[in-house]
Amino acid sequence: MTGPANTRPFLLGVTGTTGMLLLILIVWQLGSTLEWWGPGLMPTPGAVAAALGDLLTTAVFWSSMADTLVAIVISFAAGSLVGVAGGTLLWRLPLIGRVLEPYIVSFYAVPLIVLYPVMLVVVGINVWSLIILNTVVVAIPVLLNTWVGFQAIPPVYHRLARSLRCGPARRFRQVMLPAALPQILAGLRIGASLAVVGITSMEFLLAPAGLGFQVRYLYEYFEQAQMWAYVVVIFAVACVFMAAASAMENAVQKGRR
Amino acid sequence: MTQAPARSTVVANEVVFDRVSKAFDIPGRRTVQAVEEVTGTVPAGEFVSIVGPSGCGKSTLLGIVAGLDSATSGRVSVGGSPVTGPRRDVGLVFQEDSTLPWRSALRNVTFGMEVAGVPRAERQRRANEMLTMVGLADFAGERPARLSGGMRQRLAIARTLAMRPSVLLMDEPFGALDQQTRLILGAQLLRIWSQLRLTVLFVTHSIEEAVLLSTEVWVMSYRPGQIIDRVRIDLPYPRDFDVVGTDRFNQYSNRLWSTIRRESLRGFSDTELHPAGVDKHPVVAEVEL
Repeated sequence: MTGPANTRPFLLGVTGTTGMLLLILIVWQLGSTLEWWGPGLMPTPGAVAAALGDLLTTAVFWSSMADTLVAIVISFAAGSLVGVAGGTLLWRLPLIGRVLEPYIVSFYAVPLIVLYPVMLVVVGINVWSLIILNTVVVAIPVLLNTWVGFQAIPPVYHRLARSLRCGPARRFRQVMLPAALPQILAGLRIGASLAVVGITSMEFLLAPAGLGFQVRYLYEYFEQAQMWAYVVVIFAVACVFMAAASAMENAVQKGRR
Repeated sequence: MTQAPARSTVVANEVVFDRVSKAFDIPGRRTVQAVEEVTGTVPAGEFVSIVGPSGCGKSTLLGIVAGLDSATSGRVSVGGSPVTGPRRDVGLVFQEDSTLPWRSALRNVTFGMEVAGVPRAERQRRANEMLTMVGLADFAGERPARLSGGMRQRLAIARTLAMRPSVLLMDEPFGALDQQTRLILGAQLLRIWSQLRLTVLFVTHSIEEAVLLSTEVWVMSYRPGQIIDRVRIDLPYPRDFDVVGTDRFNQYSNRLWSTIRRESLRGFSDTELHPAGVDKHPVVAEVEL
């Protein structure tokens, strides 16, 4: 339902968010012109905007953008698939789940980048080592959330399905999966943010291409304005991904209100 | 097919308990005898309530009739055939909210029929009929999140009734609702029961609810759960909740309460003061009940 009552807080929210952005730009501009920090650290927004404008016409920018987006999308898709399938499997096989749980949980705390040398040996120096590592990064929170989502299904749904004599396929598709869906989507949202963080940071540290690599490259060559332009672009990419993930979550929630 | 009646009539079935017992093995603890040697008959078309203290095994007994639990010994028959698992002519309404939040009210009611393979047009027709019967016709398109707890329970009842069971099992269906709502829903349930004339086996811990609704009330003892009293409620139907508080109503309530009170105290001293598996502690003796 969209009436005046609902539109108003929405508009206020949008105005507030936009205003916040303006405020950041004003402080940024002020700080640069009043030399709260030197131009070597952070040039003025105008200089960064100009650098960004120039970048948009270069092939390097667009190929970096393409590399990064492809890596993010592939690793997110693969990680989601592995996570949902793995979480479902562990729920169906509780004994294996109990054995593996400590390992999976500790994977959360290990920076998977330490496995990069192994990846180099296995797949060589190319984008696939990044994508494979990032797939695992995405898969872990998705898997854990999926697993928890299935385990947390109220017992009454199991008894309902049994008392109605639901077949296994219908029970899964029409009762268990929708019941666990909100938790699975929460996992996918975390996975989406980790997909962006993982790819850009691994590019920064390891890769010979991509937006993250450009930031590091330009930083090493003291091209501050261009470097900040890439940082802004990475922020924008992250925003778009998170907005898409939230929109998906909201759509499901809305279907239940 | 010849001209069908508005509702194809379902024959109510009797429920027969034949020395039904159920024991649970709790690992590391003693074996708990939840139900012991329950024998009795719920005649076809009657409304029988089972009351008893919490933990007396009344829900377990209902689960056995529903085919969700199996008896350790003895057997339950519905309409002459023994219960070996869930069956479509036996409907079950749970205490917990069992509505599916991702489906509209109407599609919650059709869900059971979808599973049972009822054709689409027939599903729609019966679902609308049942929503009207439980007073939710105006909410067919709403999601359960927009309905109150009482409305969601009526939705679950509609889903079960749409399957046209010959026996309706209800496991404290109004247990999570406030007192007024449960009496009003009870009265509505009576109207539905008198329309459909099916057999109802109703588990509750509310004596008031049991007397208001039932043709007969069975009192279950604390563990091991046995039927220790059967009280015929000779109050005329159609009953409404204005019967609550009348002299005869109170006489029935008092009789039931005096039995249940004793069993509740026995249960209380067992579970609260002597946790299972722990030896009796001297301090228990100082607690006066």
